[in-house]
Amino acid sequence: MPGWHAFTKEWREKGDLALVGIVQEQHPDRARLFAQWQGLDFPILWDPFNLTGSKVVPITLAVDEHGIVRAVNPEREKFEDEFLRVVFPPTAHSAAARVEIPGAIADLMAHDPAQLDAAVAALESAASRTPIDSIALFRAGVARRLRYDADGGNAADFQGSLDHWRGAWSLDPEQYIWRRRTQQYGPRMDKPYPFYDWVAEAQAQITARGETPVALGAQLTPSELAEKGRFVPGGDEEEPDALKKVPLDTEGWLAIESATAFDTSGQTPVASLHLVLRPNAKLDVHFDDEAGPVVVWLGSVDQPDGFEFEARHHQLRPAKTGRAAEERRLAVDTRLRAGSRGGKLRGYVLFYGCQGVEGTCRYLRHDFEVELRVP
Amino acid sequence: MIRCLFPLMALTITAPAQTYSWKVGEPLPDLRLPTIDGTRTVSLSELRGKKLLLFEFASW
Repeated sequence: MPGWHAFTKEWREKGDLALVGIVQEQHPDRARLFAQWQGLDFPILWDPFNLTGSKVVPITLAVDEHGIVRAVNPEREKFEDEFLRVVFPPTAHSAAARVEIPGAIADLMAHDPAQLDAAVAALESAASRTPIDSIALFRAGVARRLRYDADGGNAADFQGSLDHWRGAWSLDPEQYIWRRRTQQYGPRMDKPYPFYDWVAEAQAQITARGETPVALGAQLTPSELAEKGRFVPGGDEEEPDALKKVPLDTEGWLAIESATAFDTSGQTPVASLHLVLRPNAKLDVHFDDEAGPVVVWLGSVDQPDGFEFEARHHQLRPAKTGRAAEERRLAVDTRLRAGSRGGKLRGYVLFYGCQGVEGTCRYLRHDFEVELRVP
Repeated sequence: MIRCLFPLMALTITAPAQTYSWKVGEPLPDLRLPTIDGTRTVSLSELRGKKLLLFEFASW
């Protein structure tokens, strides 16, 4: 598409041609960063719910001066002679089809926080009807992920979106856009798809131009960055609290939420594990980033053959926003043995936390357990 | 009053999810979408008066 942008520059500047984009993406800020990086100066519309109904991207449409589609994926060599220079008569045609947008979807696309829960509930309700409607499932998944990315989003919503997308895609395997949405959040594949591996380069180049890159809301996962997984049996890493000396978080200063995504290939089960570590807002708890990093240890697994991790010991950086009370997130892949149906993963978090502005600060251990179920 | 509401509810609940697909020779649909910066919405059926290239894509 940036190729077409450059190819049509002269005609656009003369006013003979307009460009408009539609992105089939969950996160509009990433498309904004891409447009900023590539200098795309035309309107780009956001279609996270796949309302166009397209099953693949990219698609290029040549549309005449009367709004009639004249070609799908036109050839550049013939573009000027067979489209741009042709004067299309205002022929009689059918009226423009109206694509009704349910109110819940309009509210979600408008990022209306007051309508968020009602909109998600409406789309969940549509997805729970029988017979199962794959489009309704996909849309409910989009809604749940939007709520996960909103302030205070819970990992249960992310799990809901992963489950819905898997269901939608299994009902309609040819839907490439839906399949990519499922794969985007992991786990990494043997041949990773480079979803957003351009982000770091884009940010660096935009910064070098003296501009401020568009800030990204949701954290990029290893899968989105197309990092190839390197699994190790584990065991050579030193457990940070093997002797259980750190006092337990008995008052619930921290809550652990999780979501797991299994690969779509259906071969060796690989799970992408997403953990959200949330300080207890009711108790006014926040992380004490100055005292030290938050540590996550992925420990034992009650599965006979065990699991493989890429790393068992993780240190989480302070929140990007600098807000100590903000939740911390970790995405990590784990590989099960072929034929495994899943099992329980046990681990713990070691963290420095404080209660209130002048309150107590403590170093605590919070044990957690995550059920990994191969779908 | 409650009895009057039922037919309407049934209609809403059974309406299947709508979708669309591009067709050569047909006008762009009346489909209204927000811009990626969220500052305005545009209906595709408003895009006329000039030749247009419409790209449906993803930054990935």
